[in-house]
Amino acid sequence: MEPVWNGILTCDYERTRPDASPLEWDLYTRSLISWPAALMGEPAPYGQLRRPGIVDISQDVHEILTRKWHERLAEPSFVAGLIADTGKDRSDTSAALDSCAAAADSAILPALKAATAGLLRVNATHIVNWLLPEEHWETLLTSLLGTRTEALTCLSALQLPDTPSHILAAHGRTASAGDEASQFASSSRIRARERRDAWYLAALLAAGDGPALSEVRALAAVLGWAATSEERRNELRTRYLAAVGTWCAAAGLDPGQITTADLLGRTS
Amino acid sequence: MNALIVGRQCEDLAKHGAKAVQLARLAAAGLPVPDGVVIPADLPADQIATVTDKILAWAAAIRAQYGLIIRSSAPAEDGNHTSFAGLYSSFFAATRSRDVQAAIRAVRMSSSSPTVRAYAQASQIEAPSGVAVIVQAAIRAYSAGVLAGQIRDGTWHDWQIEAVHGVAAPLTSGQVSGEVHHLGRALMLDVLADLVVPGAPQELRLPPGERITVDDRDGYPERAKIRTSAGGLVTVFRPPTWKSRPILLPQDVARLLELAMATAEAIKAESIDMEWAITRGGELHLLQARPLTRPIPRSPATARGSATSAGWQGIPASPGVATGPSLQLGHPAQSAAGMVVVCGNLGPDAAIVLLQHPAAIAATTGGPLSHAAIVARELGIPCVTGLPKHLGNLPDGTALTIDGIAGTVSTGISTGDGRTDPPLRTNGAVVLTWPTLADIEDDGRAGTVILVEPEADWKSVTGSLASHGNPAGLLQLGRRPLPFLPSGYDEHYLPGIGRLAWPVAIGAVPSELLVLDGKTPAWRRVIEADQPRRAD
Repeated sequence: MEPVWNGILTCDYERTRPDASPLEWDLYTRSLISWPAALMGEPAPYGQLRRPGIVDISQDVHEILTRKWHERLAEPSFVAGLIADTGKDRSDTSAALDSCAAAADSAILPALKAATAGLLRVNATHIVNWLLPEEHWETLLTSLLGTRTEALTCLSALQLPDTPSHILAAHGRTASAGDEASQFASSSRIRARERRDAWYLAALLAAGDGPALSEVRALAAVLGWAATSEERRNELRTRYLAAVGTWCAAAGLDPGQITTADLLGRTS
Repeated sequence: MNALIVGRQCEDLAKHGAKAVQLARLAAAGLPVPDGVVIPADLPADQIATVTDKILAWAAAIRAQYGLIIRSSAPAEDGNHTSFAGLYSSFFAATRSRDVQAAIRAVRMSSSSPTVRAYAQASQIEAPSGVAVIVQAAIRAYSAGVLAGQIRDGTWHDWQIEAVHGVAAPLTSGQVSGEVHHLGRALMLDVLADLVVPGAPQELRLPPGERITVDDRDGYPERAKIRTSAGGLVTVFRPPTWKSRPILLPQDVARLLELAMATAEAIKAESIDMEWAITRGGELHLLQARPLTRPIPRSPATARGSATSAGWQGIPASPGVATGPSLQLGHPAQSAAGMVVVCGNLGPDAAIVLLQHPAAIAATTGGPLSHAAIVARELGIPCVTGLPKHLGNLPDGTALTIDGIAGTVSTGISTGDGRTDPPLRTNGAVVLTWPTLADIEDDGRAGTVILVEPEADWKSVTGSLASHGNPAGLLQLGRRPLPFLPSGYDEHYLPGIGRLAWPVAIGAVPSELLVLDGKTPAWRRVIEADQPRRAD
């Protein structure tokens, strides 16, 4: 996100993802604009498309939507729903990509359409990279745990994906379970989970019977969800782009010219 | 009274200020001072609008394509003993009447600022009652900076040059250290990813994300993305090709020293503090010069005599402090064990290196939810992300110390404080989360307390406890009474925490509660229980 310029915030994926294809820029900008709808059922768009790759967001719109988002992230019931809904989005997208892989070339498009729609929702979670109330959480945990160092250690421990990151998962698929690297990865994951549980427990006890207890529960859930979302989103995006590439090759199309509108619109 | 003086005609210190007089003298000596005009210090405020019209006509005549720079010129400014450096305001402005008028008024106002008055008082001189204003065409510099030097017997005794791409404002305001040249050595410190240039009117209207053309030293045009713009300046991301080469070539350094020597001679000084710019084609411009009023400032790296003190700030991503030789990801190495892996984005191919027990990860991209950060936390490796891109040019084998909480990377070895965690000694009880009863250890603790979260079934929890040998209590956060108190337990309220079911047979509740991260307490609190309630 670039600095505010004349009341406008600009999100420029051309700069942050210079090697991405136009389709990827299109995916990012569309999913950015629709994150309020995808993640909190809020119909107001988050900005306007300047071109695939660049979105301009009014500072007022940004402030209204992020304030609402941060308020909702303090509600355990909202967070539970968010985790369930986005998990279903990922499952649906994964199933659509499975269908793409299983379909004959001529039948891939309907599955690709479903995968595109799904991935636009899944990709909306990429806003966790800059739209979480991290400063507020740091302040809250510092007040509860006593020092900023403990707060940062706690935040760090809580940002653990539910299942191994895509890097470790990819290694696990190719390596033998008994080799030293796999054992290191496995024991490290166990230790990381212990660390997460310990710091979650510490934050809960520090909140105790005070008003911050429900917020601590919510932030812990959000941080785990955010890490999980980032890792699984990456895997789905990779699979999706591969599926589009396969389809383009079969259809004799230039993948550099394809847009999400093409993929959502063509069903035969 | 002349409302506007051509810069080269300035000679009256009281009316035109020391800077304008100095620049006029330097221009007369044939040095490359940009043309300008001066508004005398005694110009009545009600004539500023009229003067602005004349300035705009002058700017059009000299084709000031990139707007104007509007600077102070006070009587005692840039003197032999008092510089007033950075105390008066300077402004870039588009060639629009309202912008130029506002800048002129702001510069004139700065003469009455508390800082200027305090500096004058500390220097035992009279505070100026007003300042002249110098207006020059803004220069679209490829690079700019400062040169400070001392001369003895007509030769350089000591000198230092600091350079940045674009205008020197980020450097002179202390935001960055830039590229430092010191007696023939060059060091690149925290050179900004951005560069700032004065913008043409049409460029200032472009939003972030669009591109403008900037010329390199040799006049080769590069397209650069706009980050933002304001006040006549455009901030753009440095073109990638500019990042991998030094800002100043050896011949630039030599020509700057030559210019500085000639400037010192012209102002009859044996030390010099000079602001300069280089435009396309390597053309030099002398923007400002004054005798050095303080010792040559040293950048952190040169001041400490070696690169070992250089450091970088990034984003804390995985806790811990670690030291080791650097290894750029992708470079050949027998093993990454014990090394600090320097990387950008991570893909699955990075796993093989990360699973070789590196000491730490230093990533030049991403934040706390980047893939590098997530995998570092999984593996328990200290990590800092979002570091400056030029760490990617660091030679392999450079000793680095990473602090994953402070978010810093520094060169050199940290020996640490040699402490190890002492064995756990407590009269307290260790708190665990249901259903981790298997983790209850006999390590001298007074007992174990199981935190029962709202979703757990109390009867199941207490049933499991009954079959367990270790003494254990049950804790519920909050003030509401326990839903079920097992036989043989008392209920205690722990102020600030919640309600504890504690075995009667053990007696008093523990004096302290702890949470362990491994063997180390992550949290501990002394507790005082109130009078117990016993199960009916």
